[in-house]
Amino acid sequence: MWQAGLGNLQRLFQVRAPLRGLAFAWSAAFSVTLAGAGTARARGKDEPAAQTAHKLTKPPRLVHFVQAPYPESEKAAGRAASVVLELGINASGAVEKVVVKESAGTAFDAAAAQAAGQFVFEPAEVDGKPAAIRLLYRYAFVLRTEAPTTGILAGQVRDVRTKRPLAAVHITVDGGRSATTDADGYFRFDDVLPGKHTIALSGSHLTELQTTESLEAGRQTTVTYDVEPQDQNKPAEDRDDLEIVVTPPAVEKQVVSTEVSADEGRRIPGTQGDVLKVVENLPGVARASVGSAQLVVWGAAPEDTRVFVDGVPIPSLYHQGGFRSVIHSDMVNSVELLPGGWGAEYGRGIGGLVNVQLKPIEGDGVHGSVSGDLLDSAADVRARWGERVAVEVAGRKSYLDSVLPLFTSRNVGQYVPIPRYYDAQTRMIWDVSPGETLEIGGLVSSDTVDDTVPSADPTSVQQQTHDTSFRRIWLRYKARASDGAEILIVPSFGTNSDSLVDQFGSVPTNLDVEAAVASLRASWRKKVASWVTLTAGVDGQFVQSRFSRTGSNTSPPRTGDDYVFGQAPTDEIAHDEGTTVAASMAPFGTADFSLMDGTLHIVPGVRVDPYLLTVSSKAPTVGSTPPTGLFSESTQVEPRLAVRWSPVPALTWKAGWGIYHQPPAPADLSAVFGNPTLGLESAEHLLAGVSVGSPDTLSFEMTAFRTTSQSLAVRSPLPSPLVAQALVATGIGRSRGLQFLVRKQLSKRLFGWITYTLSKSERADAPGAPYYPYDFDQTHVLGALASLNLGGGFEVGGRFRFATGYPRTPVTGAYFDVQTGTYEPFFGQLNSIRIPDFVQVDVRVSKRFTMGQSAIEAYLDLQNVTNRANPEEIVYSPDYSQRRYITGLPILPVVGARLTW
Amino acid sequence: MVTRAAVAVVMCGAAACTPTFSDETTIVSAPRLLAVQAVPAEAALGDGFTMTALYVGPTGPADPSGLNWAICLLPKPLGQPGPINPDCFVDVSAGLTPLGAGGSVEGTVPEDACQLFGPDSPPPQPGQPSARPTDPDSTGGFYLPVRIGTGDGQWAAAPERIACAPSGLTQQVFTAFSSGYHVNENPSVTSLSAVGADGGATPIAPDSPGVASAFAVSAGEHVSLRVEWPSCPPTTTPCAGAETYLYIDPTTKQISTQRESMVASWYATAGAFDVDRAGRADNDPTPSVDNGWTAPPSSGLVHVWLVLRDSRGGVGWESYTIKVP
Repeated sequence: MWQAGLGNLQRLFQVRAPLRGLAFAWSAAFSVTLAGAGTARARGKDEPAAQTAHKLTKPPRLVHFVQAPYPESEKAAGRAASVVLELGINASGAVEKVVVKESAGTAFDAAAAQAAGQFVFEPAEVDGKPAAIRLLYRYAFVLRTEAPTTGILAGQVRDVRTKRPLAAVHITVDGGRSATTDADGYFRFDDVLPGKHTIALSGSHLTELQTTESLEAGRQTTVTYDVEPQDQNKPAEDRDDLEIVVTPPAVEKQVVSTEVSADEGRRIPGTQGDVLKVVENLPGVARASVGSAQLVVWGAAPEDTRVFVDGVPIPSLYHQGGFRSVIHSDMVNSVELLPGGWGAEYGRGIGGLVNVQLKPIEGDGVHGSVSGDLLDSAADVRARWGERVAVEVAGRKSYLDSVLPLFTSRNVGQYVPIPRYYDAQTRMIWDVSPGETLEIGGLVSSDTVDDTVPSADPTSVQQQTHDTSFRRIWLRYKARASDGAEILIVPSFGTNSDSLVDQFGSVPTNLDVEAAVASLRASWRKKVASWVTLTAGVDGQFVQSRFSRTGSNTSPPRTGDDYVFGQAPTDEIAHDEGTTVAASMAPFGTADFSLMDGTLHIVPGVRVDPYLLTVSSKAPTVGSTPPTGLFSESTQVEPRLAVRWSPVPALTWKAGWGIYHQPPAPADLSAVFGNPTLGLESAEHLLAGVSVGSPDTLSFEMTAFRTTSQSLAVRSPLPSPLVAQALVATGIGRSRGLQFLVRKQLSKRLFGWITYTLSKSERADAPGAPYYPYDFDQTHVLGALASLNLGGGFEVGGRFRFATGYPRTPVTGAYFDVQTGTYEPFFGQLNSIRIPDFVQVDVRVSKRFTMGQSAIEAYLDLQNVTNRANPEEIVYSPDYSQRRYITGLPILPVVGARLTW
Repeated sequence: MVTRAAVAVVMCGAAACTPTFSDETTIVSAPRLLAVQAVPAEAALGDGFTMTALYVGPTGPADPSGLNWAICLLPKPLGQPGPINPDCFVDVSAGLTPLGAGGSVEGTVPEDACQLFGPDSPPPQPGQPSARPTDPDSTGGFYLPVRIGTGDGQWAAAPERIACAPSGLTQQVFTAFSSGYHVNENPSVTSLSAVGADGGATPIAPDSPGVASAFAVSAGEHVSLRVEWPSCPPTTTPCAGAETYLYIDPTTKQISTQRESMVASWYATAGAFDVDRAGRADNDPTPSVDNGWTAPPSSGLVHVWLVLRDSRGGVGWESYTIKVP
């Protein structure tokens, strides 16, 4: 055997192992050795010295590579290795002999040898003719991680009466892949795409059943199906006449809603992996100013939109400044935005609705995550105790205020508002019995923002501290009755606190509102006929608030006020404090009529909401005269209607309509700053739209909407307002527009969407008064985002946003205030100019490293990659002769990491 | 309730995101109204008062004959910022009571001033409840708005503090307050000095007819200036400095005492001040404040005006001339 003298030949072959164990095999041809009786001869001492040397004129070329399965034992141990083989290749290119020259262990050796033995080569040529040859071949096994793109569905099928496993049950996924339960009733599907799937169960003694499951990438969904086999003692013709427990279909989505899974939400650029921040990118949502946590949906006031976490109302979705949401992302299963036209199950709001669904606690053992970046750190830990109890604790705390002093000697808080926040959540879920769960949970959120503007002029020194916090505890009982009805009961209790302490020179603005909130949501849902599903329930809330306000009526400013950012509040100081109660217990009901073979759904609903409003003082307090309170009661009937028609699959026409009410803000019931007689604000929503395509792949939605509101609290138009009537309930509003959504759901590698909203939101101070652009009106809001899995654990994503600027009132001149020595502005037409448009591009890059059962994800979230100076607010020179803009954040890299186990 | 002010909290370096303006309001480059002094500084209903304007120009005092004065009788809308109803910034209106023209005018506080601009409820319309009274300022005061037109399209507001009896108090508190409260006094400038690096102060004489200025600063030189006002005792006695006065706490409706804050506004016909306004807060009894001034690069006489304003609307001023050789 001679060495070919050609040096080493190296070829690299990258192979993807079929298993999700993320194994790759690399192979390298190491060296080539001529072999074969016909072409190579051992040089013996009797050969004549002058015999002709054979020449390798063409090396062998691998034309058919066989992938070796990664040995399970080695993969589980996390081992990688290379096996050096000597391959004997005949003149036809087939491998006749495989010898292990460098062993990597029995398992690797065997796998490599078996695979290599099936290689097919283009034969080598010696002296221009095909010849047998031997070559050394390195077969490398390399473990490489990839971000998971599929999920696992596994579970057990049992007899509902005896709880014994049922074997030989045939299970299919979406009418395609199938499996059969083993002797213990278990089944398993690997590599299932994330999203919703129809699972069908059938068997020789089983009436065919179907259900729907939602899977997530990288997670195993474990289910237990308790089914009722046919009674074999019955005559065959009667075996299907079993007591069929009909369960209601999965709750259909509202007419207009956009739901985003946690998997998608975590990948949105510019959100630092905060799932709930995806809401800002959904259609119908205006772009909030930088540093603002406000949600403006379909042009409604931020305080008109309601937020629920598994049916528990909370006052805010985000911490102050809008940097983070108040719920740990690992707890979130999905978030749904209903900009309007929502059903009778919800009320006490005239804007939009945000529904956060928490994730079931799954998986054996202890799992969790720890993450951190420039702003804060967070952790989540969940565990199961036995088969019935699961516990989860999560929390987040900011530390930028502690970190910054390490990098600057100045008290940065004197110049830059530093947010300080924390939140924590905990849950315990008890599977009382099959189909019956009890959850006990709690959450807390706290925010503090300090802002100081120093000045040599004591009348210009500004100091502001804003503290907000809330706490909730809840019980959640969910059960499926024997008749198939679904029952849900969620009582909750908590407190809200909002304290603003502001000092502009000598002018104070103090506003404190403390509230105790008790809520009860109970519902019953049953498919009473094949074409009718009924839902009935009660939604109650009791809010007792205590407010205290000191300062000027102009601070904070209200809609319709002439106002310039940074302007000192008017030096007119008043004070009031009081207590209010807003209570209602609303029974509601909806009926889902499924007609025309289920292609047409008509869902009428009604909600009867009796409101009780009380305020502790109906007039300003005079001397030591005790205040006289005020009590009012009104019952509101709120009809709702939703219609969905799908004449063909992948095409759905939708329409919705509803009447809504909400109680006034507690501080607006002040006899000094507001009006104790303010009643309920109301609104009417009307919308229609169409969706085309499959929600699981590519879809297009268009929705036209129109909302009108009445009895809004506005300032009294009188030059001298009447006592206890600084506000009057004569304001009206209207919003109309179109919103579009093109969306590709999370699939193997790519997801994204494009949204565009064209809208107009206006207000008027009274019926018949001229409309003016509402403070939060944004004519155009365009967003496009996408996230791509590159493989190898890498993901990249981008987001583009465009939004019309908010309206502002122009300053047309100024006069000199001799008393203060400063200038005061003359104002032009209310909200007649706009801040320039907002344009921003964000990019996100992440890399995931898997280490056995753990994984680390490192990410770089680069906001405003073009470093565009987006105007956020208009400011003027002290004499109002010059106008410029405060610009938003420059290019901002946020680096973070997340460890999960 | 909408909170637009909170929207503008931005998480960034203030210098990088907030624009700066070239503020030249301290430089008198054209005839301007710098201040108005009312005597008395606080007047009761029916009392007469005199208002005098500090109207200056690039060469010193300017001709005030074009100043047009009027009392504005239109209440200011509740949500309107500022001290006066903008509808009064016209030459003639039914809501105006003319006071005349010139550098100094006299007027009388209307008998219904405390109803229009004070704690007394305005007379109700037939069949209507009472109207909402005006809220006091942070010193517990109320003001009669006077508007001034300079004749060149510029406007100013010069309120006269009016002595209205507070409302919403118990009889005991009302009696104690009424007997202990003293009306505001205008502040006065005690001295203006140039402070050397060694801390020594060189007095600068105020302008006096027929007396040439003796204080000189080299071109481009920076000097530290200190203005002083009378030091007032911590008791409620009249004083031309930062007075202590009785005040009704709006949250408790009880009497407390407060000290006036004092702000000095600096004006000059040339050069540049370090800050345009500096002062002492109500919790700082120091009867002086410093500011820096950089002389202009060219020689000449620079007119300087120093205006003191206390937090109860009192105003006082002095004028100076600095020679730049």
